[in-house]
Amino acid sequence: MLRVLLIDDDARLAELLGGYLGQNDVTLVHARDGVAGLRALAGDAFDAVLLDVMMPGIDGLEVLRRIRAGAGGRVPVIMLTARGDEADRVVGLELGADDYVAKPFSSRELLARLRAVLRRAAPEVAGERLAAAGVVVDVGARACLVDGAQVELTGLELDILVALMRRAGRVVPRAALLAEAGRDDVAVGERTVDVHISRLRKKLGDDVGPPRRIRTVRGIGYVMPKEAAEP
Amino acid sequence: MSPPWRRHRHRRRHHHGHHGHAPWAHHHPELAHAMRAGWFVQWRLRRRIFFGFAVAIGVSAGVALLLHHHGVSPGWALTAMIMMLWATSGMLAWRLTLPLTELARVARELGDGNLDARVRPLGHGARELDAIAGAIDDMARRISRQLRDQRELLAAVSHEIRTPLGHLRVLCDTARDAGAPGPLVDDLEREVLEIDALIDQLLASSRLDFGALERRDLDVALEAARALERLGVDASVLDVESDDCRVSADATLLRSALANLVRNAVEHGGGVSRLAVRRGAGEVEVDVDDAGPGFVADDLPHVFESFYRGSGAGAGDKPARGSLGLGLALVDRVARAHGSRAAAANRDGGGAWVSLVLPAA
Ligand SMILES: Nc1ncnc2c1ncn2[C@@H]1O[C@H](COP(=O)(O)OP(=O)(O)OP(=O)(O)O)[C@@H](O)[C@H]1O
Ligand SMILES: [Mg+2]
Repeated sequence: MLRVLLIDDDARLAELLGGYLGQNDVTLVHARDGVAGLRALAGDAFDAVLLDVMMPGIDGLEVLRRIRAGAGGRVPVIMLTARGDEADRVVGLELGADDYVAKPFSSRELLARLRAVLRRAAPEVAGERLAAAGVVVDVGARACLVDGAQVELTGLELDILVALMRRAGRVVPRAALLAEAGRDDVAVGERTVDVHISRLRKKLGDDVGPPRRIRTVRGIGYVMPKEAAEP
Repeated sequence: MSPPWRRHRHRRRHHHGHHGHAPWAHHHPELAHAMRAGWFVQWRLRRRIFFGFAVAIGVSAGVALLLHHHGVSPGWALTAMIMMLWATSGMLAWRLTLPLTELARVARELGDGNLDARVRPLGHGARELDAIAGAIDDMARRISRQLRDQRELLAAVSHEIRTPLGHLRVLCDTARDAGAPGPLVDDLEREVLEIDALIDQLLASSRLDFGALERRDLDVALEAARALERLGVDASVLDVESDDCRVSADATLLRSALANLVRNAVEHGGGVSRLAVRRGAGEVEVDVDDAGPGFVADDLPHVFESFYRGSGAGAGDKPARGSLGLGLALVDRVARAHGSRAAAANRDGGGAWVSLVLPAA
């Protein structure tokens, strides 16, 4: 049985969703605001968090920031967003929610997304393997295969690559890249990131023609496609 | 066909017309007061015109007599007098109408939806009109406030309506799992989604109808990245071609326009193949390409119309979420509300191309 925490001020939704997820082997625990949610997270272990953006009191974005800043900050979080909100100022890119589902959502789809997010997060302990754009990384062994061939990377390069691959298919802002790589302690500026990226590209055989594995999004950051684009 | 809330608005206007007096006067006592004080303004104006002309005639006649006295022939003296009269009355008329032009400008701007327009100081010799100017300014302030209140109310109400819609959708899936007839639940779910889509449109329309945009500097590249992320589309299709892609636009409207373009490419075109953002002369262009079947040629002239749904492949079988034919209409209205444009075409290599242009910041 998976344990999932829902932080949302809508008690009726919690009840209905709890009923649906209960039939699908997921236990839903409800917290009716951000403070209660953070308290629940501190006191108990959860496999994932469903977090509403629009809440009275501290809003979902602030809650997410505090979750990420606290202990156990890597718990997968799916944001429940409302479309067309006046108060819509989702800064998800910078904050790194694991997924978004727009309200009113289909509970089937939510369940599917939940499982996908858990699949991505679960192997962390037992030799996580990431694959994107023809690159495979064994996080535990710190080994990198490009189109099947072993490639030697420095520690920082591998960390940056892993950060990009964990969020494959999404733009990772330059500033966030170092944080995601767990290297914001190192005194590396955003320009240095560019240098490391160009070295990475060379090693990944991505330095001739337009990049296919690590693409630049001008003014924002970098993105790795989930699947390798045809050359 | 115009959406129901638009029709309602038209009816209301008509209703006001029957009463035979300006609708503003109803809600804006200052203006009504100024109108009642009209006799006073009129009297002051008449007095000024009277004195103005009296002085002009007196001075020109005096000058003519003086000229005649100094030996100028009566014909020339008369001509000089007429010329002087003509020039002074021209100046007088110009001086008198100048403040009116300013009032007219502000009234026109307010009518065009620029509620920040205020009357500039009318200057000396226009004290009579200051009362009217003040009333117009007050009215503009009140309308702005009412609009803002109305928009906040609408946002709150929409949020309240969406809450039970969210419950209904969860119940649909629960019913499916409990063995309820699939097609029935599908129909139910589609109705829920249509109500949701209508609320989206209503929110956007409330901003569009009044031209009440809240312009901010926004980075289109970043907004596009967010739209892709939120709709679960691989962001490596994003191609930012220029360094500065900031626009001056309404965040809510820009986001829903981008979301509609991406959603269309996913729903009708089998996925976004490229989303390009580039800066042109004073504007930023967003291109969304897909590699799907493209638009049916007969549909193309109509795709930006409200409630127009294409006859293309997949139009017959029911899509997973409600399709209202409002997506591109919204995109077009958003573009035009920003004084810009949207376009759609089929690409040479197959697939659809839709572009949205916005004014650069
Ligand atoms: N990328 C595309 N490829 C092919 N056809 C498209 C594409 N985008 C839109 N169309 C056609 O244009 C029509 C109008 O699009 P629009 O977005 O206005 O409405 P919709 O997608 O049908 O409904 P809604 O967006 O309101 O859910 C669609 O019904 C579809 O036939
Ligand atoms: Mg559409």
